[in-house]
Amino acid sequence: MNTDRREFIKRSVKAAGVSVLSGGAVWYFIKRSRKISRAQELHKPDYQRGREASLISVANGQGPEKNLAGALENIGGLGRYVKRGEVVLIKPNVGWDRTPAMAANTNPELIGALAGLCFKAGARKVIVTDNTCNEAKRCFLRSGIGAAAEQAGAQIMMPGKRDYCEADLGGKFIGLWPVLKILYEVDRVINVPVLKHHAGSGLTMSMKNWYGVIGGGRGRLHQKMDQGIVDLAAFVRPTLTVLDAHRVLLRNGPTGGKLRDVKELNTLAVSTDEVATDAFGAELMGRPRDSIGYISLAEKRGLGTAEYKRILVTG
Amino acid sequence: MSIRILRRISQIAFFLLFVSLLLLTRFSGAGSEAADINRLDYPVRVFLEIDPLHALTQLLANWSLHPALALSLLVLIPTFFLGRVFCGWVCPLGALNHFFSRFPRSSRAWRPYSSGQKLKYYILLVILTASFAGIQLAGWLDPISLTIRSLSVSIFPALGWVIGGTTVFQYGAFIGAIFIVILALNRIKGRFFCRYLCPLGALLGVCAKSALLRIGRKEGPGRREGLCCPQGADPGGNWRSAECVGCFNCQNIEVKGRLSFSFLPARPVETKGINLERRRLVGALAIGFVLPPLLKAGQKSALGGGAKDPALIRPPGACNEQKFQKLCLRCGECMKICPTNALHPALGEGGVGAAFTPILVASIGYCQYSCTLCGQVCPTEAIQRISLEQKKALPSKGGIKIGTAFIDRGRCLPWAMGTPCIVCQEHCPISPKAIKLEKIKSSVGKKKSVSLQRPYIDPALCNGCGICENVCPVGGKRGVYITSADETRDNINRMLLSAKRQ
Repeated sequence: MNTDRREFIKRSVKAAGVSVLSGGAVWYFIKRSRKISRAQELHKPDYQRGREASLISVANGQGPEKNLAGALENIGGLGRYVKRGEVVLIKPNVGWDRTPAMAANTNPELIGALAGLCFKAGARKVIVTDNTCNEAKRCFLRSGIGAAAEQAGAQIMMPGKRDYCEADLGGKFIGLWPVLKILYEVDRVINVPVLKHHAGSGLTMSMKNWYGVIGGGRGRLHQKMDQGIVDLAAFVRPTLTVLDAHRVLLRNGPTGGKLRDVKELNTLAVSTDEVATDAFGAELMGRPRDSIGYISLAEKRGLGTAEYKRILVTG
Repeated sequence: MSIRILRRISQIAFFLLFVSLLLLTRFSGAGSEAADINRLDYPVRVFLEIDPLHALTQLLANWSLHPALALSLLVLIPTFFLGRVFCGWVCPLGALNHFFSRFPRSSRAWRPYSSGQKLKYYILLVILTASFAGIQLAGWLDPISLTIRSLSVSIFPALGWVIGGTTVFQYGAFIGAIFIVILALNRIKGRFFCRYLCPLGALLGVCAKSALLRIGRKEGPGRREGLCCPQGADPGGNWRSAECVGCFNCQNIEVKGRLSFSFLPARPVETKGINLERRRLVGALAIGFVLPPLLKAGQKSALGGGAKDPALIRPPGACNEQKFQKLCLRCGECMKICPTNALHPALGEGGVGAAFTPILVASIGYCQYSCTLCGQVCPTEAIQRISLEQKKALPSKGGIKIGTAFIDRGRCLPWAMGTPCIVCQEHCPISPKAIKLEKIKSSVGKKKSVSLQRPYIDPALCNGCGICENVCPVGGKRGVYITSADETRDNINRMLLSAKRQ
């Protein structure tokens, strides 16, 4: 079969037209589905709206699931914070390609239990995400968090380059920075950090955990780490914070890697106040809370109270 | 169904199998427990293991053969009976070349034999002689290696970019360009690479020369069409049995009778051999013997020790450099599977002869602490299959170390600028950390002195994984970097003195 020039050009134009149209349509829908409105962008992801009071509750001595249930009960149950039909974002620490025993990541059972409770409270959808330090897939797999979350019916989100948007964090140190879009697209945010040693900030707990919702060259933020942590904590205000101190890293944090770095504390705190949570965590680790720079800085910024004992609820 | 359609189905099926296995060459996390996290569920190496060219050159270069390469007999033995059906029915590059010879349609696909097609036999001889004389070059032109390499480090990542991937490979564009040129050459003559260049095709051609399955003439009317041999084997007269890939395009075509393939036909067509010229054979032998010393003489890595290229950082478990270069097939499977995008093809590092062998480029990726995948996909164990325990053990206790990190005090933020930074220490996966922090008061670059934590390396703990270099916030040339110094695979390149004991 021979084609003459006219026929060839005709066909080429047709082919080009079809591919441009279909490509354009695909591009448009991808773009549209990922767009966040300017209003959202200017708005900070504040999920503390409607918060009644600053509370903290501690549970220990049992497994993550029972500890969580007990601590939540003290502050009125999860149903007080997560309503029917809502979308909940859970932000554990999944930083490293490490097994649960090494305590470098949040306890997977805890994530599973929390996701389960969210559904029980009526949540429509639960998303678990973190911008990991090691390769994401390995982190979610080896931490056990991927499996635990999926078993509970939650969705895993491993952020790709298109999952971020540039937003003004409005901090003293951090201004425009790539932020996970999902932060703007949910109804509730629950921060679930693990308590562990960290050479830059002393300890990493709840406020430091927000390093995992931003992208970009995060290493640069270590130049003014305490300020960076507080800026982020002022930007993302979670509905709840669940501090995992079941297994904690005493040294060689935040990665650890040996069982001898790990201590079993079997403790957990649930709070609506991140500053109080971190103050509690510091004391749990035997560190005076004013030795952790960002706690007092956050208190000065008005993000919460370091006097956690004043808001402590016991069962 | 005509046999020609069967052949096409076979080509498509094998090509899809090949691509699927290559796509499956990735971290699957099949077992999430520490012990089997790096398990591979699919025989991703199999196309390399059935490649007789690799088996033969490995045998000549090392006087030993990885048992898996014995699978190549599956390809070699049938060739003596059926001819080069591997090329026509199985080879993925053959299938691609065949496809691009015919689509878009072109009459050039059926060009007849030219004596230039002997080039591939001389190339084969150069490769065989060179491997005998100590350097392994088969991977450059072997169609399986070439295709895996090109798809892995260039074509797949390029397609990935379209859908939002972030994998990059150094020299990937160069390797991709070679591949595209090879495909484009099919527009000049059908199956151009297979006709002129393919050393595996040449090897199989030698075996296929007197194969039992031959073209003969049969009675009765055949199809009255022009000849359509994509390989220039001229089936109609003076059939080149060593060129024929058994594609069955000429089956039942009428040329002084009806052409038909059969075992030892009663009326075979006139056949011509390979007819290599003695002078050229001697020339190829000479090149094969001259190339190894020539390449070695321009290769720092042949010396070892202080002369080694600092960028010549091999994957964990790699053999010492001399052995490594003889074993490596340049296929790029290790680069494909590396979950952190750390392994890249070398070009000048390690000498010209080591082009396309894997090196670790820490500014792009790092060696993940609990990963041993590269060794598991390596078909020849140029990268050995190491255990996780071996990988994690301290270098002084039999562990593996691929290099050492060094601080660049002129670029490191705390050292050079009095600016706090602990990112390298934070990411160091070793416990206790191989990067330590020293608390100091610094007045560098600041009006008031500030308290700082300044990093330094403990080379006895460092395994050279390169995550520190990878995450260092100093762009471009980092404030901390790894070199191959003190790698455990090479005694000459050891840096720290320790009493060796048996």
